[in-house]
Amino acid sequence: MSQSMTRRSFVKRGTGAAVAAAALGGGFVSFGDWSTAHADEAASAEVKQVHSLCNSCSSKCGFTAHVVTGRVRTMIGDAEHPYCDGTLCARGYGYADIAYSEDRLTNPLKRTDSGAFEAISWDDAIKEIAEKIKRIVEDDGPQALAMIQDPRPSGSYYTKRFMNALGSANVYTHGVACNMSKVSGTMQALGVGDFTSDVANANMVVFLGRSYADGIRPSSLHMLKEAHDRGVHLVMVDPRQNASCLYVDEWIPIRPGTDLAFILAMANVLVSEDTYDHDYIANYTEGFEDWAARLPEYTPEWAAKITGIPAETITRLAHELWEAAPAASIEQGWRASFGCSHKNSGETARALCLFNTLLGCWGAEGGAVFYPSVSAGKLEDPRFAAPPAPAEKIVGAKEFPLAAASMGVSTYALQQIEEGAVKGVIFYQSNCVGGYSNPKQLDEWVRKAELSVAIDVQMTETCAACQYVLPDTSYLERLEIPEFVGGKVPVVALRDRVLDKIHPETKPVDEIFSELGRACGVGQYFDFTVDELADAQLATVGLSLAQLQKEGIATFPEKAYKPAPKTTWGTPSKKVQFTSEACAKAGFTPSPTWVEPLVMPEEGQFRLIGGKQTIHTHTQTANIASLMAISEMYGLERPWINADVARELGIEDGDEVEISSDVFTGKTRIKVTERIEPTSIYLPSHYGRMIPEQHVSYGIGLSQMDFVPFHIEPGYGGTMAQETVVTVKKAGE
Amino acid sequence: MSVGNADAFAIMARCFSASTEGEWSQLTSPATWSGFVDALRRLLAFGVREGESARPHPFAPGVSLNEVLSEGETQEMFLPPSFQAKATFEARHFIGGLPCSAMPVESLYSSSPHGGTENAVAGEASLSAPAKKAFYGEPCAQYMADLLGRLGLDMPDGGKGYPDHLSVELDVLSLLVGEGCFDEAETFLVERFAWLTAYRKRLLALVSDAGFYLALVDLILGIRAVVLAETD
Repeated sequence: MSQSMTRRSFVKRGTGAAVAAAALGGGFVSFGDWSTAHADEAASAEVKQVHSLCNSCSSKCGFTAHVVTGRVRTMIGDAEHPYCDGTLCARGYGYADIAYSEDRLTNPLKRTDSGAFEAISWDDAIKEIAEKIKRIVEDDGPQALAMIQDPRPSGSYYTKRFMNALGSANVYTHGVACNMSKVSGTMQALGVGDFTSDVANANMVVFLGRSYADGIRPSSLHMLKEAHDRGVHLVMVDPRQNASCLYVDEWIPIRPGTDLAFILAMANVLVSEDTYDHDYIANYTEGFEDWAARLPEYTPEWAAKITGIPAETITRLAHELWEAAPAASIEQGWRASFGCSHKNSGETARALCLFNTLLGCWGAEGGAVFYPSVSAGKLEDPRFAAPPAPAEKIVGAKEFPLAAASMGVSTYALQQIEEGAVKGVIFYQSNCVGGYSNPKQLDEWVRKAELSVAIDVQMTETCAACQYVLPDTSYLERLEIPEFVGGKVPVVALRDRVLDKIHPETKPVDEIFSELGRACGVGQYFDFTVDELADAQLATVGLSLAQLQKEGIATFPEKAYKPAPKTTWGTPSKKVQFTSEACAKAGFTPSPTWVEPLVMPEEGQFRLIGGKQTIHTHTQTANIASLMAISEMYGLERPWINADVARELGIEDGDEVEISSDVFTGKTRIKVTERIEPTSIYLPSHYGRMIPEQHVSYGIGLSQMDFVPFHIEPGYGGTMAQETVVTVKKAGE
Repeated sequence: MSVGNADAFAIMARCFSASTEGEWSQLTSPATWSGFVDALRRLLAFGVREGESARPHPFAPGVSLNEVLSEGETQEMFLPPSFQAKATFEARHFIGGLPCSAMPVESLYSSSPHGGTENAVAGEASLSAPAKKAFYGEPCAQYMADLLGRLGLDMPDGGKGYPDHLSVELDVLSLLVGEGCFDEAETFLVERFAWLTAYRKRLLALVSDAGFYLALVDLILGIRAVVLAETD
């Protein structure tokens, strides 16, 4: 009996091992003795250094992990990485907790008839999902499938490859709820989606709601501080006095959704006073006359009524920018201002680019510049050959023709579940349901899909809505393909395996999609390992995987940025386009004009605005105990209300209030402050998580998106995250 | 069928880990199971020592099955779950990340003063972090991984992430007892299984019936109390 039981033991005896001899010979140590010895050993243990990329936000800063006895002791930001500049932010340190979190998903899950999840084997999960995918492709075509992913190096590659192999073009990012309108509007004007204000070398920079200290890339914050120390004239135009205001000269409160009016009025000032770069306009732009003819009605006085900014301030800022030009610009903005916020977000971005064109600042030192980047070359090995390009465009391209195709309108794709055009949806590291638009509506549609799969490290609102949940490894446990990053000096960086796999039944993205690909009959596109792919990509730029694993980052100094006026553009005309045929076809004026926000607060109403805080990245970091502890310590989950308004409503700091929109009502404590203009309520976009599986974040604060009805920005496809009005009253009244 | 003390712990280990239908049928056959229950009675009465090493018990601190288990739990012990019921319970509760998760892993229930790691970042339960947050891979897991290596034992691939899984701890206890390393077994039993008090609360909070597992936990805690009383 004893022998048979031993054979059933969970643990296995090593070859020739004798437990008794080992135990009696000193092999057994009590926990107390071990703890003492271990503390001594750990102090002198060998430190292994492993290079990786942070995963707490989309910036993916490079860092070097110091690993001692298989545990991360510390993380040091890589000095050469363009985004972190040697410094990780608080969320970067805090998010590392996810690796050992009690809330990690450990097994593939399937929803049962009772609605609860149960573990199933990987074999069964892959088989069942593949069967459903094949049935959808056979019955409805590959365009009936959609993939929504938050781009990471391997995720971007494998999700697209998988979908394209099936014949589907429907690969979406989180763009609709981030910076898509900004990118798309910029594309219409410049033919490129991003630019960088050379803040450190500028004479003057105006920020429209983008806060480097909140939506943080450490290098951006370093640059802001350097500019501040240098005496650069820095102006923050934002409904709230955000954290970056520590470094700016003046905070100009503006009513949400009216940045476009502010830009149009400043453009009017420059054009009407004939103070703009005539040479640049004449040689490198197209359609200026159209815009010039439309601008006269947008006087500072007109804009003052809309924005709440005094006309003389608008005029002064326009004058100051011109005087500072070409070492001056309006910074490009991001999510909270017009990345995806209003009905006029795309057109705001377009107007911003055209205003900067008046300054002649493109490519000038201290102006608005374009940093170089490097990418992997073509891979000769036939195993890496790309699948044929899908026959059709991404679903939503026709309805939202201005939306950046590289991002796609994911919320529209989900809406098509209701219409029957989309039957299956897969999410990779994307809490789409929790934050891309109204969560209740998105949840309802995802639950109606014939197939819904979420791949993540912990349960999210999106996972909860799906039929299958597949457990991902954490970013600290996997190697990914190289990440090429643009910057003053472009680099390629690597996310390597810092920790051994913690949960045996989790898998990295490359394995999951390779297995799904094989099960779906397109295995020929996945006949390689991620190590082989990474090595092959690096070989095209003269590097190897082993080299980058050792060094973490490789720079390309020969491609370093050199200031030079930018004179050629990626637009159809190869010039800066004041007029856009595509915009005109989409229902806008050829050159940007005023577009009213979808909703405007009436008496007793406020516009609900969102935005990041320094220690969180939307819902991504909400379940991190050390970060949420800071939130709770300082009451950061509280919405902000203007102090004068609060006084009129009889609300005091810390009172519990009831906030209501047409689609949601919630209660929370409120922060009364002078740091917000009177027509806005600011609700940080990290809280109000309603997933009990998330032990830390569950039930703290309110979710901004719960208050926002489902809608999509015409033409550009943004989620219009701030197009809702709310009322506020003291709870119980 | 006679079941020794070591085998009793090995059977308990199998109760908390996945098994094939054949294995479970064999373990829960009437003859084996009644021998197992007898062994539990013996462990509660006399502790883990057997044969010549058994302690004299003029003032035996031992307890009976009925003193450790409720009436319902006693019934559960005499009627183990079917293979299907066990597999369903495991699929719903012995996994991570769900509201009804009850992974029998010590790290999630231990209250280490050191938090997650040695002054580490990943996994560290910082002083400011709410107490409600737990982490895998706490010092108890590192201890168990180290101990397994010292004893020449290895984990199967499927269990490598959880060296402090209750199954592993019970298996190590079984091996120590089976090899006659009673002093070590008692130290191990006393040190390692205190967390089951917290785990018991977790099982109690589950909506579904966890009576069988509650009974097993109560039995381990009962045996531990006996050993603790003896060694004191």
